[in-house]
Amino acid sequence: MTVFTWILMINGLFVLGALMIPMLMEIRPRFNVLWGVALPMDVLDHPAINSLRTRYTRQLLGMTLAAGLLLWGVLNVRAEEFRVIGYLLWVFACIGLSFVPYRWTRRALSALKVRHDWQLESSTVVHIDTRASAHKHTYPVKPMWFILPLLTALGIVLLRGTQSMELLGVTLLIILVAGGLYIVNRRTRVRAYTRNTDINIHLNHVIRRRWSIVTVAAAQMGSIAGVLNAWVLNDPSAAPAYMTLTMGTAAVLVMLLILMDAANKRMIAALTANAQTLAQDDDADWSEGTLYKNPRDQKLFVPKRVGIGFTINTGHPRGKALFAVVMAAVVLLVGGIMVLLIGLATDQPAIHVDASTVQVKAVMFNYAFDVKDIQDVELTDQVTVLDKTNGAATSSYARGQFTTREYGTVQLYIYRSQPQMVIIHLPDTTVIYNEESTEATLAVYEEIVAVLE
Amino acid sequence: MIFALDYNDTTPIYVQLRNCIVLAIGRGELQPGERIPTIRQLAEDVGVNPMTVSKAYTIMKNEGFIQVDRRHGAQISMEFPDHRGFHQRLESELRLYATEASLRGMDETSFMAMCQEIYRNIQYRPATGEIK
Repeated sequence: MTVFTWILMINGLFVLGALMIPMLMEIRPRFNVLWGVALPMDVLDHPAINSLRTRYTRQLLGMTLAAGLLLWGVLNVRAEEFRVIGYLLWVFACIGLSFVPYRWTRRALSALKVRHDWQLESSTVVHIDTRASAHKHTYPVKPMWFILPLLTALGIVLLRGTQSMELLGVTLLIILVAGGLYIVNRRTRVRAYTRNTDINIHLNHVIRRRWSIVTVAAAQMGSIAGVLNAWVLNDPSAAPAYMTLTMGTAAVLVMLLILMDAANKRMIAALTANAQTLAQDDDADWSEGTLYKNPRDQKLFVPKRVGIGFTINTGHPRGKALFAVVMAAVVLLVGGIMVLLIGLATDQPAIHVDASTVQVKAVMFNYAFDVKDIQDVELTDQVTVLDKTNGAATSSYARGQFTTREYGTVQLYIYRSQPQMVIIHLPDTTVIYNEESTEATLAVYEEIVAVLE
Repeated sequence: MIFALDYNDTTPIYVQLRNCIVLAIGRGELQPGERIPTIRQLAEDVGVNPMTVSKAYTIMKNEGFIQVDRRHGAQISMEFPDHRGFHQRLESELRLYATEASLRGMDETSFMAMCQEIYRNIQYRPATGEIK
């Protein structure tokens, strides 16, 4: 396996863990909700539910194993250029697979709830603990903590000046998204878990504070990743360290979320065990236990019932619009990436030479220069590619900006199986190009020489 | 104070809000002089239009249950003076409930015992203004 395939493999295992571990943790109730079904507090450890737990765990581990084997198969596809596409399709398959045991178990539990006539107070009754709500804004950490990631992001400007404004923009966008989550957490309705105000204050305080810390941490990690990226752009040899650190910070963040969610569940269970709880049946407001639609609720965002984070209230007029925008953005983004990847995998770069300009046409990596800028052109079979700066590379081709031992940073458009390459020296860079056959490569060389003469 | 509002109840939300706060004073969960949430905050917590909460607060202010201060927001009144028309309303509603109890077969002793029980369980005592 190539280094890139190994990176995909590690990435895949990370995705698999990030998807399956939170699903595995669904065996523990979130207050009175288990697999998206609201239950009375005293039946959460019923023998029938425990047997569902055992079955669910077995099914989920089976799915994880199947997904792992599928990943191995996808990453060993002979045509390397299709591995990334296969990998992306695998990610979507994994998202689907992770929900299969959940849906089976949810249906079984809903049937069990009807059979045992496990009833709860209707969700049309809203409980409000005014004392817990009054302290709402003191629960999260102060928003000024976001100054830290913003200051860290300035490191990009210090390292790259104004050369990497896009990178700065992406980093600021990550901080903005984390800040948005901070606000959503701050504005979420304070929950009355029990009739005991002290317990409600403690639970809301701790859960909201933890969430706010995680959002600040996410912003900080995004900022650090941006600075590391700027460092790599200054020194391409640092790329492996960047990859390791970025993936490491992402893994730490995911682990932090998972541990926080588990700790929150444990704390709720412990503190509400002997209290008079205010559990309600809001199953009707949740489609499949995951999609919230409650026109009575004026809140745009609510905590998720399954998984970690927040979800949109599609019963809210603005929620509907926001949901449509998010879905359209996801479809466009994923569709765009797939089209681009298929384009990259099937593309055959071409070079067009005329009296004044030379144009290299390659999906995503077009490059053009004036004939008058060509300082020299030569044929060689001695090019050692060291690193990819901004390009696409498989074992059969390399396209984009690369670092080579002989010429430093170059624009590279080569088939690796073809040893002959045309080297075009420009004032500030070098363009290296070849075709799939020696004859075609020689023809390109002769065409450029003819134009120069 | 923990109160419950039922969206399926035919009683309007602002009336439910008013009743919840009055009952909470009676139970001793809200004490004279204690601040209650601002209109905006309560509207946000309950998930209703601020106008609904404002309507409930206006009624309670007119009835003397709360005082609204521009600087300090709303708070429970220190005392609850007899409200004009209250006796008339009480009599009219009691007559209705007593009649309905009688029609449904409840005898006078049971009815009176129930009234007594409810009244005795009220924690707030107007004579001293103290909570039991």
